Amino acid sequence: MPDRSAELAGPLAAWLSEAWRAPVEIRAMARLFGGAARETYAVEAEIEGRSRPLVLRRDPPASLVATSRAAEFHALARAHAAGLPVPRPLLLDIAGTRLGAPALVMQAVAGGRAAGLFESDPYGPKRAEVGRALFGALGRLHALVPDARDREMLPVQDAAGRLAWWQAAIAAHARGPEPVAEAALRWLARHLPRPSGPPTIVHGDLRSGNILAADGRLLAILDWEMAHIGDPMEDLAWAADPLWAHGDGQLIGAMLPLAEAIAAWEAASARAFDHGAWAWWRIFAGLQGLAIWITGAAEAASGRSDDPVLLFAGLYPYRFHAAAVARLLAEAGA
Amino acid sequence: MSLGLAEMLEVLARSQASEVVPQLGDSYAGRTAATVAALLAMLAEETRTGPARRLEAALGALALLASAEVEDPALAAELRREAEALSAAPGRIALAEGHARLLAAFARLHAWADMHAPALAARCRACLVAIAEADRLPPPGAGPAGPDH
Repeated sequence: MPDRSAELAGPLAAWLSEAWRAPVEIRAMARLFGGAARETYAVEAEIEGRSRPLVLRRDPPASLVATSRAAEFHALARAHAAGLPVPRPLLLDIAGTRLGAPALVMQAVAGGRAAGLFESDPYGPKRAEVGRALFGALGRLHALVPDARDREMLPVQDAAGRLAWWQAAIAAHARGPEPVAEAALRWLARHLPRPSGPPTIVHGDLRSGNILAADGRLLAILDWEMAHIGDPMEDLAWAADPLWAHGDGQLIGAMLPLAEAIAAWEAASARAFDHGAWAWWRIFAGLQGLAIWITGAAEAASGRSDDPVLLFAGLYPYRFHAAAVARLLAEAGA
Repeated sequence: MSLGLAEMLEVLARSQASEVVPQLGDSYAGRTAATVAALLAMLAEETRTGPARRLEAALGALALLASAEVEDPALAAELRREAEALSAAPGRIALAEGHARLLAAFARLHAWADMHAPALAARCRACLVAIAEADRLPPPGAGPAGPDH
């Protein structure tokens, strides 16, 4: 996927000018690396002599996951209104008439950076502060009670629904035998957990690569495109997945021991961690990873995208998760 | 004699990392180029070590296919045929086409065992760990920022 800044700047300026009823100029625009599920651009706009840093997210022709900009925009707005550290969403074009594909514009978050997958100890000596802030924020998200608008805008998926979602993705995109995914699907279907409590808004992709942190502070939780209403144990298990551990076998996301992450989350959410369902959600997290990487590789093979990140997904994370899930299944037994 | 595929991929990976990536800097293009460099290095590793890594686990799966007592006659016959065919050229079970065929047969055995034979299912799970672990690649030395999605 190329950097389309040059072709998008004009239409974006027109969109912003119309929305804000004032002439807007795009002073700078550059595609950001990562975000293979969406095209993401850093934008410096100028309106009435003032600089306004923005981020544009636009649907690509092919992706690791199929998600809705409307759901992402809603989840961002909901989390922002609740005081969570998220970028403020500004504009949404779900029809894709402005920029040739569905897109949203949000306020840029100043400072901080997301950790790279192979980066060792990305948060340094203040890792615990970042971890407590992150799992506290996650707890506050999970303390929100979904309302009618949330249920209208976000997919509502319990554990069985989530399993069916990824099972369908694997069935649609697998290009050969998937013995690990198939075994995991059977095990997960046989051991479906009861809900850990009332359903909540689930971020759906909470991990070290999707947060901005600096100097021990959590600046923002990003990438809300997989938000849905479901069981918050899913977010905890995905955040604790070893692929996001930066090589650290002891700390969740290279931040906190699991017990401390749970304590921070429980204190903020007023919910109880479901120890009995933890093994299920960990295997589910690995299966979700497999489904995402299988989808990405299939999109690359289809020719709809030339993004090398999709190839990488099928080569490293896919095999990582296959091995991780196989180990978890062996530990779990029948 | 020309270079082997793994050697060529290694040279390309180094060339990409040293000649192309620095020219592009910390931009979308630069980081995409770095991802390509990492991919080339991983493909070189895969070309050099993949078949050997997979062979032992694949032989284990083949042995399980050949020896498993499956009480479904049609499935048992099918698995026996596959085991015999794959055993005729055991070196190929670590290569792409043969490995896929082995995995397909193994997956059918595992699915049946999960339903009907707990002890065999446990052996399948252990075999699955060996297969998946053998397939893993080490993290690239200079990898991309990550498979963000």
